[in-house]
Amino acid sequence: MSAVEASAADTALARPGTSRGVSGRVSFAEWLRHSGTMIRRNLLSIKADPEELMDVTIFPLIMTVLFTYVFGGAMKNSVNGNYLEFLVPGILAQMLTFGTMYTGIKLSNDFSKGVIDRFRSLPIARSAVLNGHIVAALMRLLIAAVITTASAVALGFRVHTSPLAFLAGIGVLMTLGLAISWVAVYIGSTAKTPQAVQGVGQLVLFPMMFASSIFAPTTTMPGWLQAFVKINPLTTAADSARALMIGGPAFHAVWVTLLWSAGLTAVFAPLAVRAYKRRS
Amino acid sequence: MTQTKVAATTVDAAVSTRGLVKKFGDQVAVDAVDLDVATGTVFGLLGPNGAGKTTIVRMLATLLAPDGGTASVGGFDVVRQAHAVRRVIGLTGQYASVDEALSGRENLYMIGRLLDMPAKAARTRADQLLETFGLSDSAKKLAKHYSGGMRRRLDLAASLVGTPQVLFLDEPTTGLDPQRRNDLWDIVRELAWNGTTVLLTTQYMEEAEALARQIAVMDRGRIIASGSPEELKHQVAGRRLRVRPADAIDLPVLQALMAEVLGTAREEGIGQVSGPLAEDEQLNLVLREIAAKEIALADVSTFTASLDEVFITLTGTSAGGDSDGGTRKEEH
Repeated sequence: MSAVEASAADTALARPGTSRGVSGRVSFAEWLRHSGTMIRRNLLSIKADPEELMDVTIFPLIMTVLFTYVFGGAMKNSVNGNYLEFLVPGILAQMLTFGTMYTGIKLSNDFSKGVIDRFRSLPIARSAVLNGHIVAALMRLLIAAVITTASAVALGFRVHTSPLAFLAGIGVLMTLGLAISWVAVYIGSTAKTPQAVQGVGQLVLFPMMFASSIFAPTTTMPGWLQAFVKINPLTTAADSARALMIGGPAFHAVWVTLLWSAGLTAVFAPLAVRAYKRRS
Repeated sequence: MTQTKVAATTVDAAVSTRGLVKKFGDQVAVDAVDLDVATGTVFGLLGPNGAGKTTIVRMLATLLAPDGGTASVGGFDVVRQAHAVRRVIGLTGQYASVDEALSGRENLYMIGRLLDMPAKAARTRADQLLETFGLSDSAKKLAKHYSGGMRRRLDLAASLVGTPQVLFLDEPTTGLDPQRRNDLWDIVRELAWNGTTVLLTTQYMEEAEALARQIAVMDRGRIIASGSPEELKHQVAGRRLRVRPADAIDLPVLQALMAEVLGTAREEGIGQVSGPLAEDEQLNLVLREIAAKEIALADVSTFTASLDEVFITLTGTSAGGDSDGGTRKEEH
């Protein structure tokens, strides 16, 4: 019968690298290739299941349309006459940062389905699985950014600064998104089920999303809430995006957002890697 | 205790453990296990749920660190040389799974690439395995849409992409219908024929007997018996004599009588008594005693215990509660 005999025959294919002996090291080229294979895996799973993109495409789109038409009229006077211009950078901020929470769900799914065990029985770099998830998540955000921006333009949104400043805005948001993906990896490695990850994610996301400058200017909020809103990274992220896309002073908001990114990464990257290694 | 160790032949062992221990909290899941699996053979690790079989496989496959003892696979230590172990093993189990969001072909291709095969070789290997396992028609279908049997075959194919020297199969046929199970058995036999060492865990004595040259029976983390299927049958049970009196009233007398001659005897549910027959001479002895007591008999027979009975006797997982005439000293 074929495969088994054939496989015995073409031993050239059999476990390349066996000759490299007992070294536990994965070379840089191998690490790159393994990570690339994992990125491909995650992108294929988006292709197989396009609903995976829903929370970063349809959901923000619905929010944009709803908020524009439901609150737009009432909000007009507090946002210099154009709510859409105010809202779109905010929606992008929410999506490009917390969109990476999905990474945690995917990772948790890998754990609960036993996929991680399969990978761990292979002679590959352990970090390749994480790299695949994180890079694929960022690519997912890019796709989402394109779709959301295009639909916003269709609704009448215009960039008032420059294309370069707009891209810088996207870059700042995705930097925070990358930092938040470490939080997601941490939750994904510690939570028992993918559902739990989703639950925790939403528990964090909703207060942060509404107690921020994403949907409304913060000036009318009570003082105690403003205290939180001001330090909320989603506020600084939305303010950065607004300044870079529509205009206004960007320096402070960008600086604080990047500081948040650095802080979250410094705290959660080691925690996440440790939790992932412990479980995997 | 009837342990036959395949002692001292560790040189040729593809898998070898000494005093292997794993604890989960206070519970000792694997308790000082010694195993030796000869290269190119099928080894069956048999035991009820929770016996520790899967825990052993997970340690051998470098997924779980042992708390004590040593284990080597393909000559490499599972702790200090884990990466080298991963180069020579394949794992199919209740736990190690394929990616459901990918097609069958993409799953196998991905593993080929992770094993550093060039893209073209990985593709060829994937198609070859899909062909062998009868999955060519479903190559592009997502694994989550596979049936249970197809899924199991894809799992197995995934563990064979790298042509492993040592293959771990953790309960490979649980939940498969008899036809699919037989197909899988054929594949395992063929792998062994081609030189792959296979360590499989199972709850079914039938499966171990059908595939394995050596069997170790596990219960509560320990190996309680090991040997070839034939050896196990003989060591543990051997031939038994079964006698049925014409009148059930005679059962207690008959049981006492047989216990005296055979060392032990037990009443079986349907009005008969059975006991171990060490030598043919005992048969005459028992019949003579019965004649002397003038007990009328309805039936006399001898039989060799099936491996399932051996398993039950060893692990005590089933109807061990019915009245034991003798001491059961031959059993534990």
